[in-house]
Amino acid sequence: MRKKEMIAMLLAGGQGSRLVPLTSDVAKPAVDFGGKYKIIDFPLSNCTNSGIDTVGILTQYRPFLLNTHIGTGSAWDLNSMHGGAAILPPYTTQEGGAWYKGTANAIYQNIQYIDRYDPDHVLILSGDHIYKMDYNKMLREHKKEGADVTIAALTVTLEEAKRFGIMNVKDDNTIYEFEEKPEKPKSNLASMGIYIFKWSELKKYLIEDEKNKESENDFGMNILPKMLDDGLKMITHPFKGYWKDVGTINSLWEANMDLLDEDNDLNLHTNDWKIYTSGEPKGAAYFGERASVENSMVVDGCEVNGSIKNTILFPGVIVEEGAIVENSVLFPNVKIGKGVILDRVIVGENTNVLSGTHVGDTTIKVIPQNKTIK
Amino acid sequence: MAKSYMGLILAAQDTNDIMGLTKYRPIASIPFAGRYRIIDFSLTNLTRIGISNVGIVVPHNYVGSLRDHIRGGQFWDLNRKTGGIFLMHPTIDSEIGKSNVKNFRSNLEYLHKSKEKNVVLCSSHLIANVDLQSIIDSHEKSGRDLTIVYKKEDGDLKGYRGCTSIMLNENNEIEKFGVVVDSPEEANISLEIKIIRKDLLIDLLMSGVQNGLVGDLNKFIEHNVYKISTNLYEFIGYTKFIDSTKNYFKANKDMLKKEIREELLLSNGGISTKINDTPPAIYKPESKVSNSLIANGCIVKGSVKDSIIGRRVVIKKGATIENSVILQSCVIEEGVEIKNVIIDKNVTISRYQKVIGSEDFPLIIEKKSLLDG
Repeated sequence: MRKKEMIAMLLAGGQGSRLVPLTSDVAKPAVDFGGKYKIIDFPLSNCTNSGIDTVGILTQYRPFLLNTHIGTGSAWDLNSMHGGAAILPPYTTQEGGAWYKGTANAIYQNIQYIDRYDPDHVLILSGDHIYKMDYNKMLREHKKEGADVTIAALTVTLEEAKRFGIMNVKDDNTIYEFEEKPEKPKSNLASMGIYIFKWSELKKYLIEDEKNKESENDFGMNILPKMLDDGLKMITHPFKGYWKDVGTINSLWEANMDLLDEDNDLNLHTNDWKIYTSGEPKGAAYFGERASVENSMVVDGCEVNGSIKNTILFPGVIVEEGAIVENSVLFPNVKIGKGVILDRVIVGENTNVLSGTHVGDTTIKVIPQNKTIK
Repeated sequence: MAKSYMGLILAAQDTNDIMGLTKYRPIASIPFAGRYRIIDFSLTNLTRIGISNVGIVVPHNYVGSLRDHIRGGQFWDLNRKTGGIFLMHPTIDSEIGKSNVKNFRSNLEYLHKSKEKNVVLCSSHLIANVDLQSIIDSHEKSGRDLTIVYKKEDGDLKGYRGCTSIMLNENNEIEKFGVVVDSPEEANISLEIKIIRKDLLIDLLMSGVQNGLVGDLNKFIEHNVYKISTNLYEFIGYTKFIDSTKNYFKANKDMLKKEIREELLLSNGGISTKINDTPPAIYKPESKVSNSLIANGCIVKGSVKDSIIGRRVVIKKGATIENSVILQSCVIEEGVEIKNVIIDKNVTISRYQKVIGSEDFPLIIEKKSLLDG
């Protein structure tokens, strides 16, 4: 096995309970986003674009679709002879087996996998966020500062800070305090859940943490506070740019709508930081004689005969004549019948909305996948 | 069983009637219907029934674009340890632009080495969604050494000018081969799809070279048909030879018809092509689109009607495009008016330009040109 300077471990077991029913059959990282992608495509593409060629993907909750999506990793150029993408589900040993108990335990159970590459550093990622980020730049800073841990940090409002892990830092960017979801935040520097660890240190702490029966085996709650107590050098890596936690129906809808803004910071249309995804190609989108399209995103494989406004269509969507769809997100292969009116709706994959249906409200509604709606 | 069949695609066709689009590429890699390349049809037809060894006879010049499209064959599942894609390069003394016998002679080793016993031969300039499995079934059931695939065409034969026609006798056997000229009558058009025993093909090629006969491989087999037991297969469905600018334009426009589009691009599991990782297209409030195909990555602010737009085309405010085919990465600036035009990739049309061709002879704007006033 070739030695790697850094490999990535992507935590993709998230259940996404606040995204139900969209996560009834799939893990959160496999939820559709942005007209052709899945959430996990963002961290995976970031890895590819950052030059990281070895990514362990830790799955647990409903992994089937995620496994098929990732396949050999070829969509992200991760079908490498030396490294590449590896799906790492929980497994059994002679001593029995166990689910991943927490984020830290998931990595603990895969120490062997990581050791095969003998990396100097390990990047920990989650499959829950939409953003573009150069992890290599973060690694350079981590090395330059000689840090044991580097945590990517986002500036949020003090109000938002209550929902995050907040880092209090000295002038030289080193962290002196770490507070998980503080009532009264002292700073607005939030952890993005993206960490680079010196592998030798992390390994030590994971083994120790596993011995502690009281521990919840979680990075934010156990590993990081312990490292800080012990005086390890922890720094932040400030991030500027688009970042969104799409953990709720509302934030998922909002993040999709953000793409319709011409100057959105995510900018999927640049060529220098492409987002890759897997899936079969389909023919170019067809617009009928009476189609009307306003401020919308339409992808290959769609057919639009009705009218869409502020709407995002995924591959295979058909909008029949006379239908009016506004402020909505239609997942793959959704069929919208004649005269249907939708406003502020997310429609799950393969659902058939029959002629004459009206759904619309001031709040975001979700129509579940694989249904026929009358 | 498709495992005993290998594919051979002839991709070195005559480009005289489609010069504007073939200055930098063979016909095989001309973009089509917003996101495909012409050779995708042959490659998909062959591979979706499990054929995993495909040789492609490439032309002498400008193969770069074809090579860039095919890569290691992964998009057609041809990145295999055994078999996969084999590009057959012409020899120096081959006739330019012809899929000729000498060319094959020099690549005989590839044919010998391939473990498959039979060869499915096709030409990359034909676009058709063909279920080759039923043709193989017919071939095997007939017990003959060669199967020739044709299509019965009555009515408009203009699109088939120069193609081989097959005259049949009353027993539905081949009487002779001819060439389609303008004629209102019906004709049986050879689709240049053949199934032949590999050892027989090798024998034919050897004798062809020994006797000094060089030329088109299809015609060469047809010349020898009197000494081979032959089966005929009639294909029913949409076909178009992309051998002229007119046919190319017409085929693109045909894709605006739902039945044809669905048959050609979506039936039998669809047509595979190189994956480009292009984001979805964006339509701004000022955009207006009707009866058009628009591919991923476009940013549309102008109006598009009866047209086919390739990937990453930018259509600015006030631009109008009608009855046209625009290939990838073109920029159509503000206020431009385009009608009856084919625009090759990477072309920028400057503000307020009018580019108008005639309905019968679409104007071609060549690659790498910048049209300004």
